[in-house]
Amino acid sequence: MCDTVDFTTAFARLLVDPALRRTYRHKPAVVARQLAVAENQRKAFCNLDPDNLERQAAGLISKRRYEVARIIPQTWNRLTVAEESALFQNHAIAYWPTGHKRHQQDAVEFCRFLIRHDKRLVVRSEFNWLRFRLGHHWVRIHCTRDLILDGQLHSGIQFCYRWRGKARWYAYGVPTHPSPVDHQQHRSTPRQTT
Amino acid sequence: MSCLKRATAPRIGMGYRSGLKAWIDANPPEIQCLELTAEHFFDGPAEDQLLSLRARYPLFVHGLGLSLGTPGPPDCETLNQFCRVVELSDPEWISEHVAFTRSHDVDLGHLNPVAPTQASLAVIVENVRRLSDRCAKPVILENVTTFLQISGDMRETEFLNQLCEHADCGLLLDVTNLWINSRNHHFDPLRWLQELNPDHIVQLHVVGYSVEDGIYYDRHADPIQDELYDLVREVLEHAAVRAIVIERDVDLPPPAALAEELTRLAALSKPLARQRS
Repeated sequence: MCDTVDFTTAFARLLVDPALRRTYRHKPAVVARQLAVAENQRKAFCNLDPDNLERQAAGLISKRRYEVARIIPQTWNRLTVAEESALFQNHAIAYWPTGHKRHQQDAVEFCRFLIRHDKRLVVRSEFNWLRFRLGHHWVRIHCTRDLILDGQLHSGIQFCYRWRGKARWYAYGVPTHPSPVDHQQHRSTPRQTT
Repeated sequence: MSCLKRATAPRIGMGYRSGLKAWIDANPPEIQCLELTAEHFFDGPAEDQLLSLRARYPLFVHGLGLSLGTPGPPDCETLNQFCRVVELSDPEWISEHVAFTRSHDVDLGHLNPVAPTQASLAVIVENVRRLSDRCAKPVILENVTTFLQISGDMRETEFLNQLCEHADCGLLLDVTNLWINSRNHHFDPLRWLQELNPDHIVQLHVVGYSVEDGIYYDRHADPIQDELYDLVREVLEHAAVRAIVIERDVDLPPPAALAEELTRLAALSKPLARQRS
């Protein structure tokens, strides 16, 4: 005997699967049978408006994109608008984060996706900090060449640590492309954030 | 709902956001109550902060991720964390959405509408009872925005009325969501409002809407527009609301601007409260 699925399960599958939505647009009853939607919920499932369904699905991706852009602004700024849209879409339809830390997990997985695509797109120091916040380590030390301190690119060391339950980081670095003012100095710039 | 007594004038307050902490800690007279988003307190040492807020303000706890529209009990870990926030903050009531955020396959992470069917009704009623029993607090449920109008066994308003009756819960009427749905789906929000049993409406949410390419969105990023104040007034004439909360999340303005919005909402409520008393 074939088990049936409830409306929310079937609806959620439509929202995460663009190919299924394309089939649904022309053959909703076929998709309902394919997903084995329960008989008493089939009418509601088959009457969804395909255009509004697309809009609802796009809204979910758009909300995720907004949150990820907020979490990794430096990496996000490295992407062109076209890259940002296409790459995030490709990442987002293949991966759905879970739990209340989903936006941070989404950002980590998007960074991993970008690294597979072109590792130069990811600001490693930002990625290090994000992974530290999500993890359980007390201390992590990273050598990195893309610290952005005072709006300028630095090479240096990044210390991530936990203190009184809060994650924090410090960094010491020297400018990667020294400005005329900094040229003769071997500058060390600490930074802290929570 | 039976366990919530009606006040003569609603309390006016804010959704607590970390960006507003300094202002809220100064106990401004415009803020009469606070709504805490439970998920914001799931991590970290929240105990001191919650106890401090509890000592100074009447609180309500609002959930985003219990997914009461998903068949079966809420996720155990999420429910435990939610209840911990409730225990620490001791709110007057707790709230969630008439929606689902996850299915048995996938966590969608954001609110999606349920079908207005007897099957959905049974699922949410069961989950509200679970939540109410577990937290030992009155539950109220919020209407959501949606791009989809799902056909079912009944109208949305009838669904909400039946839900409140069968689950013995109240309604958190999001005035902005009602306005947005009425624009995107071309219906009269006042007629929708008149179809609701006023006894169910306990609390209101309001924040400015956003518009892009003729589509209305609830980005929680804009000042409250005049049409929304008008709609709040209509709701206050229709129902004896207990609290109104401004739900601003994005592009937080200076406290003075929010204080002005709170004052304007309080001014709307006072004449109606006098009439009722």
